Amino acid sequence: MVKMSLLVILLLPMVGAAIGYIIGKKSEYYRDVFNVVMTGLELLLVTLLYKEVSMGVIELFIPDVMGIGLYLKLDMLRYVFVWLSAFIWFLSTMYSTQYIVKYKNRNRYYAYFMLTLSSSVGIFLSENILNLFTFFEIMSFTSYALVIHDEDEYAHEGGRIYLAMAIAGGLVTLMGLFLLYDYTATLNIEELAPLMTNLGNIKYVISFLIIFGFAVKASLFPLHVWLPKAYPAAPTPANAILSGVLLKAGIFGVMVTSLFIMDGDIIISTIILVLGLINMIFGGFLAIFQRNIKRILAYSSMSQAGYIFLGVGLIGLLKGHNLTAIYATIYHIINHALFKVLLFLAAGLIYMIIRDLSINVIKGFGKHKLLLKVLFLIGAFAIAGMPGFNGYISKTLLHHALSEAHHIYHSELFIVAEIIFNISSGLTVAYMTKIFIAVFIEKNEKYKGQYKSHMSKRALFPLIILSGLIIYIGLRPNIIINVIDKIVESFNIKGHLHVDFYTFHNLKSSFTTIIIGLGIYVLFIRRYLVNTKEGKRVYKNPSIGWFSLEDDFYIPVIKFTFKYSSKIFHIIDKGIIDTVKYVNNKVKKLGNINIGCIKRKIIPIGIKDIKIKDIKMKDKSINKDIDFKYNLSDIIEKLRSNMNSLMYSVFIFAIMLLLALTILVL
Amino acid sequence: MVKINIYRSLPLITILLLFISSFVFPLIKKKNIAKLISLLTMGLSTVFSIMTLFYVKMNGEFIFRVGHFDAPWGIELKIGILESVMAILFTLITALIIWYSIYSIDKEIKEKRIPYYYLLINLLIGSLLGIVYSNDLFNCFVFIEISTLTSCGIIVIKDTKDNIKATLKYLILSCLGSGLFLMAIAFIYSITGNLNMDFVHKELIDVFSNYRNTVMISMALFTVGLGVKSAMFPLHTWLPDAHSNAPSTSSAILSALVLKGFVFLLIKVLYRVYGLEIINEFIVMDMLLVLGSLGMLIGSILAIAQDNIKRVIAYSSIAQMGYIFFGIGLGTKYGLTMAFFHILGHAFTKSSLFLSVGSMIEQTGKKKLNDLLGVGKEMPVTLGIFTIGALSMVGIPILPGFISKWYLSLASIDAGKEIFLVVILISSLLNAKYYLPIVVNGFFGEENLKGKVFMAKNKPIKELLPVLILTIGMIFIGLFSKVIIEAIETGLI
Repeated sequence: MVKMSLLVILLLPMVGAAIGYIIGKKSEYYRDVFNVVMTGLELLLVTLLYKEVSMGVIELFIPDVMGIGLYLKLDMLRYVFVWLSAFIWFLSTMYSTQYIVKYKNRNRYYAYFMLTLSSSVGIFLSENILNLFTFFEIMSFTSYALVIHDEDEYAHEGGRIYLAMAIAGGLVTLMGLFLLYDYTATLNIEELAPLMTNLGNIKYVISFLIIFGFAVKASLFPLHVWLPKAYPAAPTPANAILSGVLLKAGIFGVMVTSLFIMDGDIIISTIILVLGLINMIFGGFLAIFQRNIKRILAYSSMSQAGYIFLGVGLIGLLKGHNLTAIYATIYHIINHALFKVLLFLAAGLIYMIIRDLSINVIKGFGKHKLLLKVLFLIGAFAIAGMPGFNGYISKTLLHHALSEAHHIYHSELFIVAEIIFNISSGLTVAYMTKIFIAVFIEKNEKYKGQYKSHMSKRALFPLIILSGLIIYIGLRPNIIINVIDKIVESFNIKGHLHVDFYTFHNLKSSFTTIIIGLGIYVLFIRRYLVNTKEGKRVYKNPSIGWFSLEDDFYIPVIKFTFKYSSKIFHIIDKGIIDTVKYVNNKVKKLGNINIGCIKRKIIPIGIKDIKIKDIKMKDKSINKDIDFKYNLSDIIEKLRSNMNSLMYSVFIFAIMLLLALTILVL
Repeated sequence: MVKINIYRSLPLITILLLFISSFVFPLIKKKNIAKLISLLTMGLSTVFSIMTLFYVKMNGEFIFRVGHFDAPWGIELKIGILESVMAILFTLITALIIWYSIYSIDKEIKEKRIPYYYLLINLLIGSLLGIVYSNDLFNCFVFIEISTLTSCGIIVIKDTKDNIKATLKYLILSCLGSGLFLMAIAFIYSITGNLNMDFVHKELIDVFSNYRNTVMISMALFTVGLGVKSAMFPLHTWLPDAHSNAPSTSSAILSALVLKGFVFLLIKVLYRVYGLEIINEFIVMDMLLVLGSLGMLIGSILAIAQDNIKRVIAYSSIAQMGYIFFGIGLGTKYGLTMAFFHILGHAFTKSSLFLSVGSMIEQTGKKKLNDLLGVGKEMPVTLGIFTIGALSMVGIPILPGFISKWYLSLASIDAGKEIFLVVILISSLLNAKYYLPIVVNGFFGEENLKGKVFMAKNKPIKELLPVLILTIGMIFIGLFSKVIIEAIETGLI
């Protein structure tokens, strides 16, 4: 019974999508209610499963579906992801009912929204990596429908690159899976680890290929190029799930590959760690230049994903001592989902009213909106790692893990990592300060609290829940620690983490980063990114003209490859066609070669197989000796008509019999 | 006390049902009653055959003694999975063809002859079932004679000059073939003193080394004799005339079923009478392989040169029979399995092709390829059915044609004869060369479609339903190929 519940939580949203679509054709109101109830039910079911999961792993195998059978498994690690998805979906659906009202194609939106939930749950539940990949691809396509929901030019441009990267990544991953199956003959994640260690260097190729597709969704550098385009194009609830869950699905895929399949291989972990560091600083750095709130938050997601990858890398590197790193990574995954969704939903509230996201336009919008201001501030404090909020907890843990690694390895890499960690935390503070000051502090005569009535209570409700959770976790960090205790068991490590979060040392490092951040804001953003025009502040973005990976590298490379490979294929094509034509002509010529002449005096009218050209010749030269020229094709023609006659048939029969007898007897 | 098991006697009951019922037809004056009786008996036979299959699946292969005499004296029927599958194939497809003929046969033959036509069909299918079930060589010969005469009957029943010519040719060559078969039996009998296949096999193992030449001669006679009947290249010369001139229902039966019955008998003779130990001593398998390959290629090349649509399909039969001989000739279990699978797939495909072409000719009155351009607009459903069959022949995935080509290729690699992959590939290309233009010109082309009225000549769906069922059956064979191939493998032991 408990086993079947896995199938239920997987299929419930899928069924909900279909039913919701049908209801939506009749009544929008009932569909909204239905969807909220459906996601609420899903959340309830998942929450009820907690007790079962904490007692032991739930596994379910259904043979004969999806080709190789569906193998579902729910342990504590997966449970955290599943619960987060259900929770965020519940809030986003509630929020969507308010947000999406003015959009078209609402019915389609909800159907895909629910399908994406189903596929995300599928990703987190799959124990078979091919199942996982299948759900991952379904998620890519259903979420594409969400990204392009506006269907304007901008949305399609974002959607195009999102889809292109997802498909390219998916194909690369599929290639990896083919190789994986070829070498190991199994696809079950748990069985793969011992097989992979004996493989030699090919395992790096395999894991690199598999990680590629997941890294696209997790926006790992340099595969992040879709992120700044797709995020601002998508509707806000879609942003919330993109950043809150789909990003985590990518990270989950990378985690599965690097930690479970590769068993925390040093090389792979180091690469992930370095790329994570680049993500952190690069995302943070680009975020401070942006003027579109959603794009700032998009780059911020990239930067925060970098923190998680840092944690994933550390788990692999600190074999045997990775307790803190595991806690830190999972804690940050949870926290990031909470505060980033809060921030996106808050930005969406502004967009719902002003229909613009540029901070030059919405500047000063929130000055008189106290509740929104407080909610956003909570999110900002959380992401910046302010003590008392949840971000502080996970960042402190990550910091601890990093210094542990430094203790063990004494490598320069970790000194650099330490510095990058502090700087990017500072950058986080800086871009959040930039948004907060621009939107909530600055004065703007246009906005004097006149839009209060536009802000619906129901849209604010999810934000309040999220900020409550953020503060609760910040003050009582052990509540999550207890959950993670059970996850640790799945990494085959015994132990329990005791950290006192609010010590002087931890607080000091937190405040250091905040001071660095404020320093960046005052010294860099205020000086170089702000123009003062007629007494007003105007933010500018000098990074627009900079080297862009997408426009200046990927697209030219792809165009070049396409152009030249098409030329090469064209040559091959032409070669084949010419050869065929040549052979064809030669065969025809061969058929027309004159073989012999027969002199005939009288035109043989009675003969049946007389050719038309012979008849024509008859007119010209009656009663003359005519040379009948026979060529090969005439002979074949004659042979064929003769073959049809009975005499020849019997003849052939006799020959065959003789042949068969002689061949067999001799 | 002798316990009579009704299931065990079902094969005999089926044959007797068909034979005895056929004597009723001359007494019937009304053609509709004849049609009804024919359809009923064939449907009943189908049900019996299916029941036999279930019985065999549950209880395994069994031997039925006709007349309760034990084997060397009495006649035996030996029924395993393969036999019952073949029986279902014969009866089911014939039932569907009869269903189709109910609507169309009046247009092709004279009304007076319609009861006789169904008489011949019942006799023909009864004798084919006899060939499939019987475990006795001479009994097989009797059934072969019946089937030869009845198949001549269903060709000549149309009563035109061409038909009579084609029938005479078929009759003479067939008789030569049966003659060889009889001669082969005489040779075998003279050295073994038995006619029962199992007993002959036992004796042959013992006396084989003493009578090498006799065994070989009998083997050659069997191969050539049955080769003529199953249109093995180059003994196929009777086939295009016979199949293209007969009424299209007859063509469907002849091409889809009658040829298969003789191939099945050939397999039975080679594997059950001689057995692998003896076959491997000679190069008979290589001979089949080479002739099969040649048939695949030359059958297709000749099909390209035809301008009559029915002849195209008739020549394609030669090529397809080539595949079956190819599979047998590989000499491995895998190859034999695929030969069986191709028998099943081709039976469905070819019957649906012949019937759809038959309804095109019936509606338009034209036989030439050039006159049938643009027929897709007038009869889209019919040409659609034809298209699916043609795609299967060309080898489009999912459809059975592809599956047999694919596994035949694997089987030839498995047997270490990679060079024959080229043959399969070229023959597929050639298949495409003559099937696809019919489809393309039927559906597309401004000039082809000019002046054609949409659905103008379409047959009512009611009349096309049996052909549709055949096509669906064909797709099912493709979809469930794995199950079917596994079943055949268990049947082969």
